[in-house]
Amino acid sequence: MNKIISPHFIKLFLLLLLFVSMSCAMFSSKVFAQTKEDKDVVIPKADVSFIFHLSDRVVDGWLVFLDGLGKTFDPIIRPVFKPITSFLERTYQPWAKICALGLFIGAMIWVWVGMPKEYVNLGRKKKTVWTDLRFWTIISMLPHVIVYLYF
Amino acid sequence: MVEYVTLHWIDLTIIGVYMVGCFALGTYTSKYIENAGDFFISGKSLPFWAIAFSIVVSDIGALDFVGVAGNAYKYGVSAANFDWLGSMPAMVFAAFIFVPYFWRSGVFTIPEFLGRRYNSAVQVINALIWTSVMLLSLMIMLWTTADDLVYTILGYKPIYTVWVMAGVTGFYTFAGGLSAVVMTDVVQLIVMYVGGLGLLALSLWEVGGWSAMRAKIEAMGPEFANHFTILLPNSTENPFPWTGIVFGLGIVLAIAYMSGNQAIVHRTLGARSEWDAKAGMLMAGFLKSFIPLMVALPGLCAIVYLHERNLILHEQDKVIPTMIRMMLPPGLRGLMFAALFAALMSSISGTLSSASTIFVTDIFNKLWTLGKKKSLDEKQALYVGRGFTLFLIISSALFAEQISRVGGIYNFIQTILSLFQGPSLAILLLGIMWKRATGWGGLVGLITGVFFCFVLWCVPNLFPAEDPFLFVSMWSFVFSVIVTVIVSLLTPPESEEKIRGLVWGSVVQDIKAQSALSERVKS
Repeated sequence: MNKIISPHFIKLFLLLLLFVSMSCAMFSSKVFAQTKEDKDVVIPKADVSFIFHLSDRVVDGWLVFLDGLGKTFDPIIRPVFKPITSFLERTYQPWAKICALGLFIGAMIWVWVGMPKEYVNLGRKKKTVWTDLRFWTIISMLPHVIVYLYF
Repeated sequence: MVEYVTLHWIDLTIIGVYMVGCFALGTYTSKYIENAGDFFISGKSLPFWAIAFSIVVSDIGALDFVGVAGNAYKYGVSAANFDWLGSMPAMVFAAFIFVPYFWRSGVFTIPEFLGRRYNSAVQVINALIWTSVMLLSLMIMLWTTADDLVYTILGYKPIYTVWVMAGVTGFYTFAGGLSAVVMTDVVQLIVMYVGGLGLLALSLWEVGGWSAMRAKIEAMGPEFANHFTILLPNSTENPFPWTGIVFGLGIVLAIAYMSGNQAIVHRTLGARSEWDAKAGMLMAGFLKSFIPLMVALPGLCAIVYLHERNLILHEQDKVIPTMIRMMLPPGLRGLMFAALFAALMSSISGTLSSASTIFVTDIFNKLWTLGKKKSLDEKQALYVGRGFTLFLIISSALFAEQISRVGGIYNFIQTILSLFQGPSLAILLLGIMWKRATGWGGLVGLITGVFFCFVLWCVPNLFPAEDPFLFVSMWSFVFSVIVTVIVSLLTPPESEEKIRGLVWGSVVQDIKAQSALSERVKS
C-alpha cells in the first residue's frame, strides 16, 4: 500500500481526476437536454457543481457554433449531396440485395483466392483442415448469405 | 399504477450465484498479474476461443438486448443488420488486414499503432476521442440496465443498481485486468446465450411459432409491411435505408468498429499467436450471427404478444423489460436477469480495461515522457492503469443518471460513434495499405474528417434518414481518404525504417521484416 501512495502516485491521481472531471463535464446537462427534456433529472451537485456551471457555458457556446456551422456550409454542401441522394432514391431495389450478398461472397472469394494460404494461416501450430482459416471464413459467412437470400 | 415483479427465491439464487461466481473468478486471476503487460494484454497468452467469446460478449451489452429489440419492434428485421451485415464482413476484413499488423507490431492499443505509423499528435487525438466515447458508453450501459431493465421490472431504485454493478465489475477489472475480463467473459457468454435463447424460445412459443408470427404481423396493416424486409428502400422514413446499411454500415461503420475500436481489438492483441488472433476474430463473427435471434426476434414477437393483450408501447426501449415482466416464469426470469447482467458486466469490464490501456499508453505515458524524458516503468504503468480503472468506474456511476435525458439510446451511441469512425478508419486503412501516407496526411485527414462530420450533422435534412449516422460515417470516410491522400502527396514520404513491418507492402515484400516477424512467431 505504501508503494502506491507515493508522490508520483499523487501526481498521477490529480491528473486523472482532472481528465475524468473534464470529460464528465462535457457530457453534462444541455447536450442531453437537446434530445429529451421531459424528465426532471437531479444533477449531483456537491463538489462538482462548478464543473456543471462551466460546462453549461461551454455547451451553450458549442451549440451556437454548430448552428452557425450548419448555416455557413448549407449552401456549399447541399448542392453536392442533393443529386447523389436523388440518384440513390431512384436506384433499383434489388441492387440492395446484390450489394449485400456481394459483400459476403466477395469477402469469401478474397480470402480464398486473393490471399496467400501461408499468410492466412500464419502462426498455426497444426496444419490440418480444421485449423485452415479459409474454411472458417466460409463456415462463418454461409449462414449470412442464406439469411440475406431469405429476407 | 405500475406493477412490479417480485423475484422468486430461485431467481435470486441464480442471480446471486452468478454474481458471486464472476466476482470470485475475476478476482482470482489477479494473482497472475505482475506487470503492465499482464494487466493490459494478458501477457500475450490468450487462446482463440477465449478471444472469440470475449469479443462477442463485450460487444453485446444489455444495451443491445434493449436497443435492438426495441428497434426490431419498431422497424422490423432491418434492425438485425447491425449484427449480420454490420459484423461478419467487417470481422473477416479485420482478421486478415488489421489484426495481424496490430499483433505483430506488439502494441497495446490502436492509437499506439497510429502513433508509430503517423505521429504522436494522431495518437493522442485518437486516444482522447476513444477514451471519451468509452466513458460515455459506460454511463449508457450502467443507466440502461438500471433504469430501463431493473427499475421497469423490479422497481429497484436505479442508482442502487448502478453502484452494485459498478462495484462488482469495477473491482475484478481493477484486480485482474484483461485476464479477469476475458475469463469472466467466457462464463458470461454461456449465461447470456442460455438466457437469451430461453427468452427466444418462450417468445416464439407464445406467438405460435415463426410462421404464425410473421402472418400475424403482416396482417396488422401497411405500417408493418416492411417488418420482414431486411434491406429497406432508400426513401424510407426509418433510420436504416439500404444505402446507409450497405455502404455506411457494411463498408465504413462496421469495419471502423471492428478494426479501430480498442474494446474489440484489445483481446486479439493479447493472443498467444497471430493465428489465434485471426481465428478468435473469425469465431467471434460466427458466434455473433446468433445474436439477432436473441435480441431482435423477441422484439418482433413482442408486436404480436402485446397486440393480442391490447397493449401499445410508446417507448421502444421498454419492449424487453415488458416481455420479461409479463412472460417469463420464475427460474427463467432469474436466468434472463443473469444473462442481462452478464451482457452488462462483460461490456463494462471490457470497456474499462480498454479505456485504461489507452489512457496509460497513449495519454498519460505521453505526458509523463514530456516531463521525465523516459517512459513509465512496468510497475508504474500497472498502478496508473488500476488507478484509472477505478476513477473511470466511479465517474461513470456518478454521472450515469445524466443518460436518462437521452431517448433512443442505441441510435444515440451510434450517432456519437459516427462522428469519429469514418475519419479514424480512413487513416487506419491508408496507414496500413498505402506506404506513401504521411504523418501530416494522417493528422490533417483525422481533424478535417471529424470537422466534416459536424458539418454534415449541422446541415438539416441532407440525407434520407431520420438519424443519418450511417450516411455521415460513409461520407466522412470518403472525405478523410481524399484529404489524407492529397496532404500526403504534398509532404515528404516517411522513411523506410519508420514504416517497416507496419504497412502491407513492407511486410509482403521486405525480407528483413519477414524474417523479423517469423522470428517473433517462433518465439
